[in-house]
Amino acid sequence: MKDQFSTGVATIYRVDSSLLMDSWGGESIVYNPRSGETHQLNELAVEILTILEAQPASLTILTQKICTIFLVEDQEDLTNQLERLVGQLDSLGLIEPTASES
Amino acid sequence: MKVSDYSLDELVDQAGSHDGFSLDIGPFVVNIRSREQRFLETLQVLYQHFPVAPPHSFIDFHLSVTRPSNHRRWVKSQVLFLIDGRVLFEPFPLDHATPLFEWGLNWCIATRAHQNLMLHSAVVEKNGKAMILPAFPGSGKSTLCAALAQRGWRFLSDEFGLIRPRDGQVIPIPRPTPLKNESIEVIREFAPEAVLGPSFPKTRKGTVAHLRAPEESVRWLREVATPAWIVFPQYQAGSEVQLTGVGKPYALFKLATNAFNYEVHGTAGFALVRDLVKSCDCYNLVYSNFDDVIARLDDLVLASHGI
Repeated sequence: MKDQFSTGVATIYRVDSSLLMDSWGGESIVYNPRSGETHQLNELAVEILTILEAQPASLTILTQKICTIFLVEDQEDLTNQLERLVGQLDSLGLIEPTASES
Repeated sequence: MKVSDYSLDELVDQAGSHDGFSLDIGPFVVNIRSREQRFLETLQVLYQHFPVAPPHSFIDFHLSVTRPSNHRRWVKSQVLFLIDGRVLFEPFPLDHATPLFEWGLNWCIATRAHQNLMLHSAVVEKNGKAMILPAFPGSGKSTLCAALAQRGWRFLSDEFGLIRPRDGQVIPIPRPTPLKNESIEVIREFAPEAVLGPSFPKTRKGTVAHLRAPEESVRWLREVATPAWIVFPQYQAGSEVQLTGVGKPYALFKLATNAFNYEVHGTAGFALVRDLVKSCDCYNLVYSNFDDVIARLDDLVLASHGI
């Protein structure tokens, strides 16, 4: 993942459109046809996929939206957590960098 | 014709012939060539109620159980398992021909029979509804499944939960159940009338003895069953029966990641497991006493019928 703060460039992420997801009462399972892997997701990961499915976004935008949804006050702490989670989702092939914006 | 219609001499003659002996185990026909009398004797006991495939049937697996043609033939006898005439595995001691055959047949099914989704699970059925018991190390699913099969549940499978992709039905494959170590005596005590083959000590999984499927279960070899429950069993010494509902994502994830060929089916495999989980009630089951756990599972069946 590019460091948007040191380079001034923010990576835009999008969801792999081939993913299959199913949810039951806040718990979700996602199947990635490209890897053949199945993943059990927590609520935060599902929210990230939902946001990115609606519209590709940078980590900054994602953080703002997640803060609003989960009523988080400490945005810096959440940014660190999201950065790790976005990196994991990227490495699993569930999301992918699509472009960068200055 | 059934295997029981053959005398041992006839079975030995047929299996030793060029055409071999074709055993119908439900979804597959297995052609066996062998001259090993003790192996064939055990095969006859364990598969006694199964049909023999008529001549010129389509054969799914051509298997041979035979001694290697080298000097060890006279020193310390060994036995080979051949698939389509090819040796893919190291030889076993001759007196372990039965475990080698059962293990080799498992390998054939798990690696080649991808027309169905293959869950790694036992399956039993009562009143037309199937219960899937997924296999996890130490869970005791084979022993539990064996006990249920001795108490009026139809036995569909010990190892392969074969799910038919077109309609999600479970296909029976009631081959012998390999009981291991303490489970052998446990089942002998629980069901003295149960028929077990010889004990094979010092296999890779300790001592193994194979439990023959009840005749009634083999009689229903062609009858698929509708899945109704997915139950993750866990034997825990001294525990009371605890049957606890689990979330469907948990069940889906555990089933899918423990299946033999889920990845092979791709997106269709995910959809199949998802639909299976959606159509079933899913539970974790902790148990120790057979009578108690069977009574609890019988209650589950009655409750599903509104009784």
